[in-house]
Amino acid sequence: MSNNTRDPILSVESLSKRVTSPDGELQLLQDINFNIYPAQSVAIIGASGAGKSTLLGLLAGLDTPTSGKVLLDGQDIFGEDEDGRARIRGANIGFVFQSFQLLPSLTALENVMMPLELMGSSEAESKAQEVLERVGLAQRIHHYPRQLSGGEQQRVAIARAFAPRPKLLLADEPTGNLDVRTGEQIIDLLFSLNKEQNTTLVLVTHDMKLAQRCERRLTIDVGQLSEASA
Amino acid sequence: MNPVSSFRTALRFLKRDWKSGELNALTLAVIIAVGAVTAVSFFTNRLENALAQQANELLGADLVIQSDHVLGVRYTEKAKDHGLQVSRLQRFPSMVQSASGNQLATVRVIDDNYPLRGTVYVSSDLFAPDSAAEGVPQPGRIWMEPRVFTALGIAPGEQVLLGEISLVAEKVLASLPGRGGDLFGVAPVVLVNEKDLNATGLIGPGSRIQVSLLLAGKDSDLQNYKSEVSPSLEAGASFQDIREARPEIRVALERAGMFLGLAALTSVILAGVAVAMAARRFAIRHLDHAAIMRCLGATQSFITRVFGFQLLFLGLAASLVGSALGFAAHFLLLEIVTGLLGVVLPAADYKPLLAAILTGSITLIGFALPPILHLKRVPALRVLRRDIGNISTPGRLAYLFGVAALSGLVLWQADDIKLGVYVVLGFLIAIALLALCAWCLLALIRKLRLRGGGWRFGLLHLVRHGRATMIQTVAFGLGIMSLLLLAVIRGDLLDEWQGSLPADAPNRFIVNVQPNQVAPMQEFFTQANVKPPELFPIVRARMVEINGVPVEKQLDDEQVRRQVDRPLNVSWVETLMSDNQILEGKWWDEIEDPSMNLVSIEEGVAKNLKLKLGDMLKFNVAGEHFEVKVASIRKVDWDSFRANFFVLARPGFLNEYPTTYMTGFYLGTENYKLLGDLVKQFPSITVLDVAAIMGHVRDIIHRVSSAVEYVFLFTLAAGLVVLYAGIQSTQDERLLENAIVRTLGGQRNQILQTLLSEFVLLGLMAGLIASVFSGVLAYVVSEKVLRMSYTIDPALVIWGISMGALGVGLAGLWGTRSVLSQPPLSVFRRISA
Repeated sequence: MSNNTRDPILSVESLSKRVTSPDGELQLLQDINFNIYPAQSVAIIGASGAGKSTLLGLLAGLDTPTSGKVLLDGQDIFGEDEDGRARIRGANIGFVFQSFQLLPSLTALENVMMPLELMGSSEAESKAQEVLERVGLAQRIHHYPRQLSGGEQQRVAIARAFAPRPKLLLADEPTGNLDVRTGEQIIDLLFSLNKEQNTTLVLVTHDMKLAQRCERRLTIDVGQLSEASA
Repeated sequence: MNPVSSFRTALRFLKRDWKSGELNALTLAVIIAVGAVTAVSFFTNRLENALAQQANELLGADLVIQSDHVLGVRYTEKAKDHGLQVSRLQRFPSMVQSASGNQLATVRVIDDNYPLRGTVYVSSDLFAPDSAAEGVPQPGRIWMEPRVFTALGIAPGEQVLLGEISLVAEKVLASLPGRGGDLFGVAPVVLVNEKDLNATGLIGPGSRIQVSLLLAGKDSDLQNYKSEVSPSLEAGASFQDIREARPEIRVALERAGMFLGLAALTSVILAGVAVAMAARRFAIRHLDHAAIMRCLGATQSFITRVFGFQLLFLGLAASLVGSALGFAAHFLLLEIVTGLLGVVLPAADYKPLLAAILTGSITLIGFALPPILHLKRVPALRVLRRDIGNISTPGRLAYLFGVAALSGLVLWQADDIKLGVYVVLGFLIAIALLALCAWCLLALIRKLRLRGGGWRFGLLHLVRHGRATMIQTVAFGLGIMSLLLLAVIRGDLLDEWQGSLPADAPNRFIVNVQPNQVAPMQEFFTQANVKPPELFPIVRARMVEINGVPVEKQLDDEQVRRQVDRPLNVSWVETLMSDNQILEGKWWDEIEDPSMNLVSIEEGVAKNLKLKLGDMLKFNVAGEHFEVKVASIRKVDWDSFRANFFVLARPGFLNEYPTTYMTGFYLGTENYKLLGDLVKQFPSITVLDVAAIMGHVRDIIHRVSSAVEYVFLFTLAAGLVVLYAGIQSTQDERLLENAIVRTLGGQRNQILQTLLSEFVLLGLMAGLIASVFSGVLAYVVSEKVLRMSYTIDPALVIWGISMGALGVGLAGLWGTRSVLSQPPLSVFRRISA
């Protein structure tokens, strides 16, 4: 792990996740420990079923661990109830998913406005418009997700993720549903926005090329974490 | 996260969902639910008012106060204060005289307002065809029933003497409202203007006079008046309305009211089922939305608010549209019925609208709220793993909540609580049985280890989606059951009415036939080539004791006491009349001891007087007494209009008492002269013409039949929405699965086979269970609520099965036809978007 004098933005302590399956107990994650510092970019890599998405779900407080802690900016997210975690997410975390996860009932603009509105922002519309322009979709803000191509949908998702200026951006296979060329454009966009906003980026991928662009790479294998040296 | 933003988000979702057709099923379900209930309720409400009004024409008023003395002016003034029309009618017996004879008559003294409802029919010659009279007899004129003319030996236009004045016997009275009540009253009726009353000098202190205050007006005004006046009603005065006056109309009206009520309740239930299906689909389709919003930081209460508002807007908008449509539809319905019958219906009141909007809201809240509440619990992790957070466990509880809400609604809507309870219980048991049978059938299919083509996929799909299959079976089953139930009862009701009032139902009655006239009268008919009618003996006897205790000491109810205060017509027959049915006890031929004096009592009288089998009754006939034992209790089909009696005695022991004979028979208008000859030959008899009353009753029954037919159409519409919502509820899964099959090379025919076998089997299952159960329910409702006899028809099962298989099969294919026409990729895109 790289040394850093600042406080970590994300701190994971002895994190374990066990589930009961028809074949007995299944250890998804075992005693995971790491820190991530502000403005770092980190790739979590590993084979399918290694536990990458489980880890990402726990970092975002979308799921609860069997044991261990996740501290976001020093706050234990599992010390909060469901609604408390939702608030923490709304205020601190942005998401980009493999399957975009846009709300089909809302236009591009309304999708981007959603997290801003949830935070009670009074300038949701102007802010959302600004970010959409930044991701190159100025002409398509009133389109619905199904009227947009995959690449465009992911741009909307990225705009939605960056609009509230989150401290931490979590991305789950952000290029997984896109062709190589579009995928590269999306990644360029993700990294440049990350740099502009000084956001901490954690992305899950099995694309080594993408992982290489991150400052740090954490490898997960059968629920255990190791870090490759930069 | 202020409420404003959830409000706005809800509106946005609603707008978009609406545009995308996402809300079609739910909106349509609520609209049709509310529409059907509005239309049926408005229609029923107004039709009931109209039928009551028409029935009141027989009474001459909407409401009558009967009194044995002149009523104080306060009754009239209060009635006018309440905006009611008032007419005064006085009745007393008196002799009408001419140069050649005299006759005891009931003098009816009327004012210019008479009658408030209905029409007086008169003719200008004896037994000639009659027509509606214009106004009332002017001062100096008298209108008289035919028998008075024959007894006095005069023709219309001649003079008669009433008390101290001479009057012109202007017209022959054929029928008049309010006459029906004392159909078998001994004396014929004459009609005189109230302005002549004083001059006759017939009324003085101590005169025997009966006074009726006739009232008419709006139902609410009448009710207000009644409730205000009732507590201070003086002794000897009582209220009377049509239900008390004429049992055969009462039965027809009550049954019609119950059927229309049942139809409305069934629409409510069907609508509820449709909403339940649609709400489930709505919730399933919004699981992802909820998860994404949770992921973006929305709290649970925000999610609840967003979807709650959405539901509220939708419910309100759809309820408004539905009630507007229903209101419009009821006009269309009225147009058809009134166009057909040429009547103007009274205005509707507000109650149906309230009922409709409550129906929309309660069904929506009852069935949609639980799945919506479940949305807030959708784990945010669903954004990463689609397999979690599906709607599963809340299902049962949610439906319980909905069913409870719906049951409450049905009980509230049911005018007849007994009917409401039967319907609710019936449907609850049906739901349980439908679910159980569906489960068993699914288990059976699972065991069969099927092989073969497309149809096997269809069956397997049913098994794999066992839960959805069960829900659909219950929904389709309830739909089919309701329609069959209504169809069966409707058919029976119409048959019963038509059967009970044949074209040759008796329209003339002859009373006061002396024993020595029986044989000559039969001879008279034979010679005139008319089949001699059966003559029944009558002894007029007053009941004085029940089991040794004087009746007046036993009966608390004033009205009941009045019933036994006047003499009852007791007749005797060897064989029970075909329109009578023994409910308890035995008819004479099954009782061995011939020495006992036995009677059979009509069920209504038995109920009023609280009589049971074996009770000893003492009767008084002109000062002499006889004692009898109650051997049976009978149901009388009053609808038949044949001669019937409250008390029938075993032949033999009444012969020694003063007896007269009576009969009822049908006589076509072309034979009216025969009656004139009859009265000439037997001057002391009384001929009663009920042709006009029969006409009224036929008209009422005709109207009720049409109403029943049209209302059924609405229930049918509600049933179709259930079908639509039911098919829609699993449409996405089917589309997706079949798109996958198509991607993997499945042929059009195979997919068609799969879909068809699936839906047809679903329909078969639902139809089979529903038809069996609707038979049972129809039996219970017919026998227990409508009091009609009912035999279960095996053809019902065939109807149920074909309705299910064809209806669900075709609707299913139509609903999922896009899988055959659309490229699989567009299905994938549409469903995952």
